[in-house]
Amino acid sequence: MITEAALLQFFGRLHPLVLHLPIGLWIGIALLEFGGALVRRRAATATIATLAWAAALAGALAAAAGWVLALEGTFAGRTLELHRWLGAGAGALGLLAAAFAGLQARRPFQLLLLSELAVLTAAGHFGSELTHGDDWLTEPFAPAAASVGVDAVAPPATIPPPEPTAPSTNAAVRDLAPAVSTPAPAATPRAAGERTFAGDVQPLLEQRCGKCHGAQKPKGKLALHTQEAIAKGGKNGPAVLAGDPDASPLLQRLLLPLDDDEHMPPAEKPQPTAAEIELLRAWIAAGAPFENPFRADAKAPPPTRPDAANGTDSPAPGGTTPGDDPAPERAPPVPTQPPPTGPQRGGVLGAAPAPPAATLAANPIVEAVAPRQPAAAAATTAAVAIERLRARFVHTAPMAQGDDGLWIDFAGVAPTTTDAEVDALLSPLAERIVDLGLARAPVGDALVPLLLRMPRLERLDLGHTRITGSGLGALAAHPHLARLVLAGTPLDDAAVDAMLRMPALRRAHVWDSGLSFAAIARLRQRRDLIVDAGEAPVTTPQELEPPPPGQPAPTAPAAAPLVPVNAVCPVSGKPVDARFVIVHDGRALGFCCANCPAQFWAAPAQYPVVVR
Amino acid sequence: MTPLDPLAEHALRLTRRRFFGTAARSLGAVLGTAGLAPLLADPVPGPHFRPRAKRVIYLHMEGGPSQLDLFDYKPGLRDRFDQDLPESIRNGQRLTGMTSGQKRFPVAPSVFRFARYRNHQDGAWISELMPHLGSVADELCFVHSMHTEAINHEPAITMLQTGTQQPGRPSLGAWLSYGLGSSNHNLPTFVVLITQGFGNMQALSARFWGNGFLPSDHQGCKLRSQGDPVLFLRDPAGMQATDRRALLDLIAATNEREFARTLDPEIEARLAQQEMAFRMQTSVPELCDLSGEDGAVQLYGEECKQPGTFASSCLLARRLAERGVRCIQLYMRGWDQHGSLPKEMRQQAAAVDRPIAALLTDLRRRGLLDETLVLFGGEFGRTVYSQGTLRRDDYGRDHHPRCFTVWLAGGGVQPGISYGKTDDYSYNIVQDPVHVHDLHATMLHLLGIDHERLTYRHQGRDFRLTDVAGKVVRGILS
Repeated sequence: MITEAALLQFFGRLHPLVLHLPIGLWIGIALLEFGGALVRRRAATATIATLAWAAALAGALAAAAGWVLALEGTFAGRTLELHRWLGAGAGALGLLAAAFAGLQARRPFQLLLLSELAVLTAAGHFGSELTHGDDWLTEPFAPAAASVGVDAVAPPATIPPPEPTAPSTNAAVRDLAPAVSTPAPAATPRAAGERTFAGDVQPLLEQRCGKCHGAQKPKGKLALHTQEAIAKGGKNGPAVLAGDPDASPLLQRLLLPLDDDEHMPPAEKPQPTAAEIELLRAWIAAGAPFENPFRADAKAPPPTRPDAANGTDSPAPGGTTPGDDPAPERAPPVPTQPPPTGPQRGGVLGAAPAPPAATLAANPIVEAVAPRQPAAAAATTAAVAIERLRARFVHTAPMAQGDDGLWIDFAGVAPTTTDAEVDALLSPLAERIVDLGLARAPVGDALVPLLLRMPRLERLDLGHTRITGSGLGALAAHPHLARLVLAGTPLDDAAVDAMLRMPALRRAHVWDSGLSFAAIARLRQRRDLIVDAGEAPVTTPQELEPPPPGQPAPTAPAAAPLVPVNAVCPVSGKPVDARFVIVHDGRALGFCCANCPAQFWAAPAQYPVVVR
Repeated sequence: MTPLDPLAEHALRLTRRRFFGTAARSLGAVLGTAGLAPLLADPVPGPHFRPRAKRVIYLHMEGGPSQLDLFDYKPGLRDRFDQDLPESIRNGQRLTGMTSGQKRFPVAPSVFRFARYRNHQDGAWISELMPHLGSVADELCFVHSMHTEAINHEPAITMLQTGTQQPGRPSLGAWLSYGLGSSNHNLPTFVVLITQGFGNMQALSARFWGNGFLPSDHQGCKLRSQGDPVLFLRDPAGMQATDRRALLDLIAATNEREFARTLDPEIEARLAQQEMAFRMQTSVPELCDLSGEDGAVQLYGEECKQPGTFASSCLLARRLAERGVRCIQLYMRGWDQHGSLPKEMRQQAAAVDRPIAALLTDLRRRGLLDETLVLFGGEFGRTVYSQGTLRRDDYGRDHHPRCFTVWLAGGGVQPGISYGKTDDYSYNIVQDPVHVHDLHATMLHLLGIDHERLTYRHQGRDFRLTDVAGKVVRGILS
């Protein structure tokens, strides 16, 4: 079935077909335009204009197709960006030049023609760099050893010597050299059969995969040149699942039939030998160690790392939790727990909701277009963790598009949530959480270590939880926490010390929180903090409309306010605001704001009252 | 495949979406924003930008409360009692058929006395009908310069709720459900509560909270005020929850097969709603159980425990907000005072004044107000001239779409200000007019949505809540 998507893809793939047409044409046009001087006869302007229009249209077509082709995502990075924009620029310039040629405006046309040639050259250069690599022309002159991991992090001693069969400077010949490419044992002392990442695996990856999955051109966003890059994985997730070679996409791709589209390296490129594949398998089976040596001939069951399923981008290996099931999304629905059709529906800005994955896969039309992914490369840690939260009906959404911060809210499931569950669910995502709602959940201080691992947290709603002052104390140094809801919690006054120290805190809700009046008063001394202790609003109007003529004078809706005996606030020295009056020692005392009375109450003797 | 076959069209849309989904992912990488890719792959890509509000509580005063007797203080009118409305003010503007035949249009100053309450400007003038609201005036952002095109209830409410006067478009809450999704998957994303009023009541159609052409699980869910809040949620005698589950699983399996065959989105909606109903069997009774809310009586008043009152709706609104429901809409009926305005408005205002102030206070102290957008308003305003006989203490007012007052509070709105001005007769806007589309654009903006980018393709074109208009009112943003 021909779908629009397929047509688009087809159109994009026309790019390599048409792109040479405008290049040739523009060069021809330039020859006609400027070469006239050599043969002392000028080409007819009509000829040039016709050719210019043909070149311009072909160029526009090539640029458009290229733009669409870029959406396929085979290429990425700065080179693609340069090529894309230069190509678009060349297309636009070409149209402009053709227009001027048609108008017979000679000077501007010549100028545009020259710029078109310049931009075309640049665009073509970067385009060829994309498809052939940036060393396409220089490679024949480079010494052979240079292509085997010189820039690798390994110390010189462990770099294997250049392969004995490959002294040739011709890279193609070298790469096609048979079988022997398993690096020879290095001179460094180590046990027989022992290999290392730096000494054996890295050079192999560099040689077989490095050209397309290196620093220069991480195709599919996968780079294999450094330890960090391998840990990061590609666009389909990690390529290496430590301890599990059969599930590792890296090995899966190597072992696919050569004619499979997903096979790596691509069929037309040199293929690794069986021995090399076995080396990779042994390395992954041994837990993909970057430092320690491993045995290539060991057939013993490989040591499994508990955090292997977590993906390799989780830096803390200690965080094993009961919820770390590697494939929770594949678990069959528990009968009493409805399948998560709810969370998957709705909330799709700008697009209709995506149907559940199961129905998508069952649909032949979709399957034809959907990219085939190796089963194990399905999800990164974060995606799995988010899926797990959603399956538990915990609201999990990005703060905004293009912002990887998360808003996570337990509002829908609060009463049935526990400390342990929150910890298990949120641990993998702790670093991304910006806004966390735990209100009404029976959780408490046990979560503080988790909260400490959320450096980006800005808003924390702990209303009606069991958090205490001492638990809060540990959060005192939190760098970004700006809004804190503690309404209805069993706080003690120690919480105030914590809140006074939190550097970014701007708003605290402490209504019904067990804080004493003195503690709240102390909290209010912090001037950059808005403290909401749940006070009833002020009910007295400032002014009443005069009564209509012929009607009795009104009485104020609320009792007449007390008249303070002082004109300036005893705490701040500012003028008294009539709304803030307290009765102290039989006198009505006025203050400038809502914060000062509490401060006054805490130590009345310190603030002498000036009676007016 | 015929080009107009909706199912084929849907299938096409799916494949297209798959393609552009992948395209967008690689685009993200191209733009160099690491970490963006997994989010773009996300079924919930999130709001367009960081929202200031996470949810909306929309208090719709159905019938069109008189701005002249509540919030738009015109002291000069007292001296113009029973004078004719100057032609320079009316300017030939259309009237409804109810007053267009009147011989004269006598100015009716408000019978109610106004008081000035503290806000962050020079105070807010609010009539004696709303003293409690006055006490929270420093939270309110009054917009005195609202205007709409519709002059009768049905089209005017439709305009406010769906952005157009004709029936058939999705309502604001449905758009929010579609755009932002739910944040509590045990309750509907959009909940509607209705209170019967004391005055003249107009029809209140369910399509005001309908989904229009959006998938039907985005429609508002009305909670009934009497008996079971939602009908048929209770299992019949003899049926166990496990039986219900087994039944639903069986039906779901059949439906999923049918969906795989036809790709009809309504099957998905149906599936989602069945699951939602199953979960609501426990979540709705828990929601409506007010046994732990003894403290609320002090705040909302005694009648908050009586189902169907506006006070109980306000209390439920707070409970819904706490539970993460995106859009909560309260309708108060009976604000259509063509006659006997002073008597009817006293009753109407008495029913809503304290609960609304209580709701704002309650939200604030729970830390919810700064992330909840509260909107109060009717579908239009009322005329300065009296409909029917004008007496000192009795008059009526006709519909007036040229200006009316709404107020907003909470998430991202500047608290304690007034925006926009009307002329001395509260008949025309003289400063900063705000159209319904502008209000919608602003509300979506506060919720993190660019109103021009929240679209749904239907019958060959992209639809928006704001149609082809709407400007975010920057002056009221904090």
